[in-house]
Amino acid sequence: MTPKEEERLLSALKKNDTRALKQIFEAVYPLVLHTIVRVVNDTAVAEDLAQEVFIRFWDKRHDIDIRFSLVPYLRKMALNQALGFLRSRKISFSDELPLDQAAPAAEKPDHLLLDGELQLLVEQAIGSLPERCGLIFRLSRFEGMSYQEIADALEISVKTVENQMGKALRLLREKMYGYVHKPE
Amino acid sequence: MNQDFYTDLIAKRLSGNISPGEEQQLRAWLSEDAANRTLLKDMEAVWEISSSAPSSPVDVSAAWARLEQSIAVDKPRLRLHRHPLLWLAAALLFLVVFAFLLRQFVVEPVAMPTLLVETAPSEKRILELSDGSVVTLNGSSRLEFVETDRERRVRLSGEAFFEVTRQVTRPFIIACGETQVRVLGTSFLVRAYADEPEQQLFVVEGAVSWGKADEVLVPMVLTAGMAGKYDKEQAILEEVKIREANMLSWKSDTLVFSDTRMADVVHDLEQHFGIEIEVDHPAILNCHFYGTFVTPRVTDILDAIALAMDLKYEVQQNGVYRISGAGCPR
Repeated sequence: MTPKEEERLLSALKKNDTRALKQIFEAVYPLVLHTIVRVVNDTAVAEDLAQEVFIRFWDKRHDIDIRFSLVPYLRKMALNQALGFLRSRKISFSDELPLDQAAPAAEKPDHLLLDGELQLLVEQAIGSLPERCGLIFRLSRFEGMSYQEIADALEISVKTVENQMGKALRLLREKMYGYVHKPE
Repeated sequence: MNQDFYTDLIAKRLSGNISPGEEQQLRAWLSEDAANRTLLKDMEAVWEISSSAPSSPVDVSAAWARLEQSIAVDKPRLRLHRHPLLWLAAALLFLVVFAFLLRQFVVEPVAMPTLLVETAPSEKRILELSDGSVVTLNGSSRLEFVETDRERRVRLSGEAFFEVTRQVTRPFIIACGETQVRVLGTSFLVRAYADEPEQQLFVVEGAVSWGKADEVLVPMVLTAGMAGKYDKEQAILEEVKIREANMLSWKSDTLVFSDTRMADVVHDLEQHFGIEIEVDHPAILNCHFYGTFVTPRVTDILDAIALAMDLKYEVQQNGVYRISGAGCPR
């Protein structure tokens, strides 16, 4: 969406035009959903939360400042929705590795991995991180949140975020060793 | 300093959280040993690759359909902040309604509007509930839907096929007379006509739990492909094996027979068309029949049966169909 297009959509939205909402929805929904999935790690829950985001967006349509750029704005809403959900459930994180995830490190060299396979490998590797470790890594890597922001959102110390990020990278390197390691 | 300290620093650098002082520390460590630089390279590669992580396919149009419904519900809502006087009216109205509700349900949670639908004997209706669930209601049935913050509740008499949307915080409950079905997952059939001796439930997808409404009985959990029946007279709930082939024929208007015994074919035809069928000779019930019929008339199927098994049929004066012929050996 170009800025001009966004401006047009926003003013249509303020006139209660659901077609404008539909257009925005179609452009941004996948991003919103993926953002939430990465945080809550459960597609069905994420779908519910994504609906909430757009319902709130629609409810707030008269208050949205036209100077905002829509995509980052909705992405921020999605992130807040997801983090709010985690807080509301008062999730106690386990630092244990998930039991069924004794996933062997991928040992295939890169030229044998097809595109889809790489994605799957990465998804599995990230999915096999301990719960809190994986969440912190996803918030940093995909949501671009700073250590301080992550610490605030999860109500933990910055030091913990630091340790968990380092741990995530070490575990991911182990799991993707065959793929990433290129000796000098 | 151990190696973990430095990988923490690498993570900080990659994620843009490193301070100038830490950056210097990291550089010093990197210059110490080629192995350290290799480790950095590996971690950079991990960081780079991880960007190609999850992107499962997204069904945007289904999600939009769901959203459109939630929004349609709030359409008639008044835009109060634009009309200051309306605030007063709304406040008064609220007081009146509140007082009324307080009298009606002193402890009950406040229920959102009720939907009530009844179907005529040969009528079928597809209902979209305000929570996005879809119900296909068969003939001679009655369905009432009430939503609260804590649950979604349906009262059903008759037969209906439910496709329930998943809501983590609000279970979907179907009360049918003495029993109630609590939905954990998605689609299933409930048959609970008041004038039939038993109730039936058949789960197509997901899982449901079914028990007595008064909760004396331990509920039974049924998952995809399982069926249960409740014997009203004896108040017994049990899992049963059913031929699922034509359970949903009233919904799809399609009948499928695959090496099906004539006894079952007759049963399905009676159910589907609401007719009565008699056979001249018990041996006819031993025959087996194949065929798929989409939006059939009863005569289409009877013609096919007659042709395949060398039988005849007629409609008698009293409206009952009568099949005659030699039939098949046991």
